[in-house]
Amino acid sequence: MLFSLDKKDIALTLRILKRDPLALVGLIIAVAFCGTAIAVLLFGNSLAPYDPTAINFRIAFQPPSFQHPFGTDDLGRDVLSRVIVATPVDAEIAFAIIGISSIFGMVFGSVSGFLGGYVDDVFMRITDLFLAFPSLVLAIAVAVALGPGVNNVIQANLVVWWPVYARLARAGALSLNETQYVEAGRIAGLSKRAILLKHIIPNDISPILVYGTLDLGNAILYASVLSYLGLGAQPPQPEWGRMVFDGQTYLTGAWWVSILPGLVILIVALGFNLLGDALRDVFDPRYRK
Amino acid sequence: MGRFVVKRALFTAAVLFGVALVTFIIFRVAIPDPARVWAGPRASQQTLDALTVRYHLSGPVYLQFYYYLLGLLQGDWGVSPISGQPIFQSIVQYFPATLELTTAALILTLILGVPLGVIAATHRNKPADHTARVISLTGVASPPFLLALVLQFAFVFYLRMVPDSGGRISIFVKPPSQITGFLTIDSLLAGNWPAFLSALQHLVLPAFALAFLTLGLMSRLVRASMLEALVSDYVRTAKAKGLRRAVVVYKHALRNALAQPVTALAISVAYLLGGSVVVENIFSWPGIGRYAAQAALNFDFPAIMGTTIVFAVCVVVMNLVADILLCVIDPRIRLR
Amino acid sequence: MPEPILSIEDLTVTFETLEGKYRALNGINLQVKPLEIVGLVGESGCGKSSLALAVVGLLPVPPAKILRGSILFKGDNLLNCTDVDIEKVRGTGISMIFQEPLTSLNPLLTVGDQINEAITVRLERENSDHNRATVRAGSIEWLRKVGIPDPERALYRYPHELSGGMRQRIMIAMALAESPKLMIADEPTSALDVTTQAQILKLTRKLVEEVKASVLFISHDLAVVAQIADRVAVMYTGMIVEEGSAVEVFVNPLHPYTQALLASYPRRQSINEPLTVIPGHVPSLTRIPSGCPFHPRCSYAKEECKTERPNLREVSGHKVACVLY
Repeated sequence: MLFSLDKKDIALTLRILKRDPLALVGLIIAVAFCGTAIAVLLFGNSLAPYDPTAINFRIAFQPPSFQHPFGTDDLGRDVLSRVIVATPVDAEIAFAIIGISSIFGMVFGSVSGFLGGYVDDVFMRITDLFLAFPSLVLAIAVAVALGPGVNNVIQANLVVWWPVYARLARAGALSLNETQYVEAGRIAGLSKRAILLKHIIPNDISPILVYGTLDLGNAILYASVLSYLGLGAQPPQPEWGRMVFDGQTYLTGAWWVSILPGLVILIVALGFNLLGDALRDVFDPRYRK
Repeated sequence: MGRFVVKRALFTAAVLFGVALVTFIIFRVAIPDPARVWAGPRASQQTLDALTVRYHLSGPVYLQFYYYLLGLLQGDWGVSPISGQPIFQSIVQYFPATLELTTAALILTLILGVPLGVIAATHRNKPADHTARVISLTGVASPPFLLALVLQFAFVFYLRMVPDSGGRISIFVKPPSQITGFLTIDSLLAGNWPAFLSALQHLVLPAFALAFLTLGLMSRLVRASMLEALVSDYVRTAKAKGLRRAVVVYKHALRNALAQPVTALAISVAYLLGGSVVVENIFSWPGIGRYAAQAALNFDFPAIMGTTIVFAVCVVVMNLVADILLCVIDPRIRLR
Repeated sequence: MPEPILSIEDLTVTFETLEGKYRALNGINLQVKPLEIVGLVGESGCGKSSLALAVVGLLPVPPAKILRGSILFKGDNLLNCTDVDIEKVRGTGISMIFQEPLTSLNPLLTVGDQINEAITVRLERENSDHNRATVRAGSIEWLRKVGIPDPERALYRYPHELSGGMRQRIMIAMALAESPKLMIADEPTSALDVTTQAQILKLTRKLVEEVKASVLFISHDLAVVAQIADRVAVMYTGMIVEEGSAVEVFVNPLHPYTQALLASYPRRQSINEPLTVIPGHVPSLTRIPSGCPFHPRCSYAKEECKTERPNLREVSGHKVACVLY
């Protein structure tokens, strides 16, 4: 259960990938997504086949073809290029959301579960409260309150995302409380903080890692919906959700402008879901026997 | 069981109070100077002063919260600076449409999601199971606007099977008088056949677009529950008694497997409401979702807060309903 | 001599797990005659439950695999039957009760509902007319027979509302209400306290005689088996090592394992006397010793025991699988 990959884990992972080809597909998609994001961050717009900002009304509304696999939009810009260049925005948002909220949630939940008693009750009531809101709606509300911009989107989502990780971490801490590692630590007279840092938190990591991978897909979905509604990245920075919204008006005549970026969102989210599913099988104790 | 309901109801009230508190905090953090925001940038000092008195904005924080709570309960939710309309009234006006759409989506989730899950479980690891898995995974990973747009394009523009006009009913059809607020039910009650057909036609696509996400979740849950039930000891006993396979699967396994998915319905409502913001906007469905989408697009903060509160209340109420349902289904819980 | 109701010949079953393949049953030969109660004794993990499940076709077949052998019930080989045919045998031909009645009863259905099901199966297969009233009457009658107080009210109870002993009585009622020719009882008393155990055993004996059914009674508890069985078979790591009438096996045990088992049973002895223990421990089924599986723990072990697996031989009235005979 400790976060350490040994030969048995790798063998098990390979067996699962072999048995379930979809997991491999998920891995490929996830890697492609991250790879593209990093590549664009490093090499800029030159990575795309065409200049994503180049306006050329003469080739506007071209359907998908060999030269323009995703067609062109209302301003004659190559849609595929814009999709590629927009990759790091969602990647940044998704990883930031999951990364920060999982760390915060994990600390919050671990402490709460470990300490137990009154503290635990209060902490959990707070978590429950946040879970009472439909998360997408709350994220939208906070984003509207904060105003447009990528950082505000991240912050708005943090509010909504941390409770689940807190609960996961708390569940882990509660069960770990009963184990012998922690008992031994207590008997040895380790301070509470030491036990937390050395035993509780490292053991909590695996379920959070699994869930976080699955969640990356959801984070991308939320980010895209928020930017669809005009929050988040502002023009001229291309962003998948935003492209869907802008292209909506031309749905009848040029469906590719809005539907294809939407499809890309689906594929990336799907990839992380598949990967997360496979990871869950790897870490599932029932398979480890 | 009565005591259980009362206890849960009290708990629900506490949660609702908490919801009001959280929204109040967000409000205050987001808008340090509400009077100016509500009055608009060109308001006179007089208007500002009047607003400050009206909404008790100059008092200490706890007093402000008290009046905020009071306002919430009395239906005074402020006015939208963009539309100029009082927020509470707008929400009340748009509520039935969203209720109808969400109910339709829930029904679709049940009648499509449950059988899909049962089939996946009884044909484990065979093609049917894999197909079900792909469908549900796609549903879970779809951004809410994608299917809505695809459906709209396919059925409205391309195939021309559904009328183009957005909204809930064709403008050429006389709508029935309002009884429940559900156009479908109202037109049935009035015997107004053309209205019923038109309303149904307009309802199908957005309901399906909404349900696609929760359908996938429900089928995965049912599948997992069924798989567990199918290897349980009581199913083994049922088989040992010589009962027919159909009886074992439906009377024994499925009944027990449905306990969890029922709770999932409450979570489903949360997703449906979130999705409605986008779906209603695309289909021009005059509900709270569309109201929220317009509010977001226009950075209309008071309006979006109003819709958040309404949605939160719906989710909390649905949680209570799910708990009571679970109590009804599982006799073991009643004793607690 | 009457034809046996159940005749298991050379039944060999393997299980495939992540850790490897192992033999749960290794060449089992066992017979149950009409109106006979056969006790199957062995420690946990020796394969008794697998044998029980294999007979009624309830072994989970992907991990389990029936390598060879036959299970003859009233002359028909159950292993050659289709799923539909086996379904017809279950309940009215062979019925089964399990160890843990709480999980073996459906928690969401009333007791009455579940017994009604059993009675309905029997009436349907007999092609008798039946309606809700007759079925309900049958259920009440059976609840009375197994000693449930206030049967009319009990029909509407849920399993979790009753005690362990009452739940097991209901399981027995469900099993015998179908008038089976053979009832397999898989550790039915292991989850009960001693007093309830005795009551259940007495009840079972009485009802089984009434219904004219044979019983295959499986238990790890020698004392329980001694109280109820006519014949006894002793099982060790998937094999039967001794078989004979109950009196023979308990008074004159031949196989070293049986002897050790009986000796280790706590008797009225003084506090200072240590309890006799069989040295070593039961081998995991994935690592069964070669030859005679008991040889590492046997005080009579010879060289040949390590390589030769002895078959069941007839010796002075009962059968033993040991080179000593």
